[in-house]
Amino acid sequence: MDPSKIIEAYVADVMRHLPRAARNDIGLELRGLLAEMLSERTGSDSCESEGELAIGMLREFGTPEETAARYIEPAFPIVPTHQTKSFALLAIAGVLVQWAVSLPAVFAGQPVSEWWFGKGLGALWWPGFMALAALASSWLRHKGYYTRTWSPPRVDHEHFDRRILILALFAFATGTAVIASLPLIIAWLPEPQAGFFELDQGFLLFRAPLASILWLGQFGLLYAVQAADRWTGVTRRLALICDLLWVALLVWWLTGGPIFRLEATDGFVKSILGFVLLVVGLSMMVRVYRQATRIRVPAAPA
Amino acid sequence: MLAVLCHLREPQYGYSLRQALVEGGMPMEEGTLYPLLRRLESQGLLASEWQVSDGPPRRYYQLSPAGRQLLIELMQAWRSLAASMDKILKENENGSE
Repeated sequence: MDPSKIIEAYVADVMRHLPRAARNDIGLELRGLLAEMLSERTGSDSCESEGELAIGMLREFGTPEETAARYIEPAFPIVPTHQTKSFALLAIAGVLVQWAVSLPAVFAGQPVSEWWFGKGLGALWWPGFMALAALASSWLRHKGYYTRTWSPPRVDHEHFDRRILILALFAFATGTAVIASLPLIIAWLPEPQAGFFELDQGFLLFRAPLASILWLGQFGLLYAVQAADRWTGVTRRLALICDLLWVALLVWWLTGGPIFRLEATDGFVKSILGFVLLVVGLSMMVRVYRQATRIRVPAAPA
Repeated sequence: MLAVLCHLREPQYGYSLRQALVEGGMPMEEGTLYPLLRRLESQGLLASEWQVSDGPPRRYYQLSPAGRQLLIELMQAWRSLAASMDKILKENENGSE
């Protein structure tokens, strides 16, 4: 085999993987380099034919893709290294949640193929959306439009913000008032709107009042924190228990029978509650994560 | 990179530069050296031109004014680093004796 033709073929293969503007320049230089490397080897090793020497040398040099990659400037990363794991986990979790919600229909008799070509594959919109959002964010960072500078959120992490108490009081009062006055509001509405919002009696009597009790408990807890002017280990744990109780209550609302008598209204409200459940769950996870990442002084050996 | 810049005060083509590095005790793989030369050129630290007068066409690289300035700064940094390391190693040797 003609060694110059082997080198020529290798260089052509490298050039195919290079940006068009730089191809010829790099190809010419690389061909000269490889020819000189080969002539050095033929001078020192006469056992093999020149063709075999050329192939051996090019294999040592690397595949055309690897050689081309050395010449290309590293591209900006789409997902920053420190976010790769959480990005992958969030992408997978998003798909799994959608499958978990839509798969019960298969167990109820929907053909698997219909599910797979509908909501099964459709769930992949989430990783695609995440990838596009990451790409846009990465491009903005690369162009310098978006730079993040760190600033301390609060000097005293345990300090209690009084605005939270006002918000909690507002949420408690609004939520309780809405639940308590729903039957009156519905009675006031003209037909057929009243029929749309007619509440299930079981929900109104047993499941709804628990929300007011939980709101009251949360408000009491925040009031205690405000009185002490800081969060403590106990109050943080109590807040977490409150969130857990909210999750349990919302799950009960979603699965323990109808909330509204009309099926369409019930389905719509439950989808909103499902979203609220997701938000509460995520906020709990964030809180637990933040508590876990605090600096703790190791216990002194006994 | 410092060794490469040092050798490029005078024009050199890739292969002759590699030989000079080997002779100076700083061997560098061709697959690393050539992309490095192109990157330094794209950063404005090197200037290059093709010469086809005798033999195969060769691209000769040489330090640009910015490259010369960087070489001076890198040499100072290297000497300072080497002096610091030398001091640390000497202190360590004296301490372990």
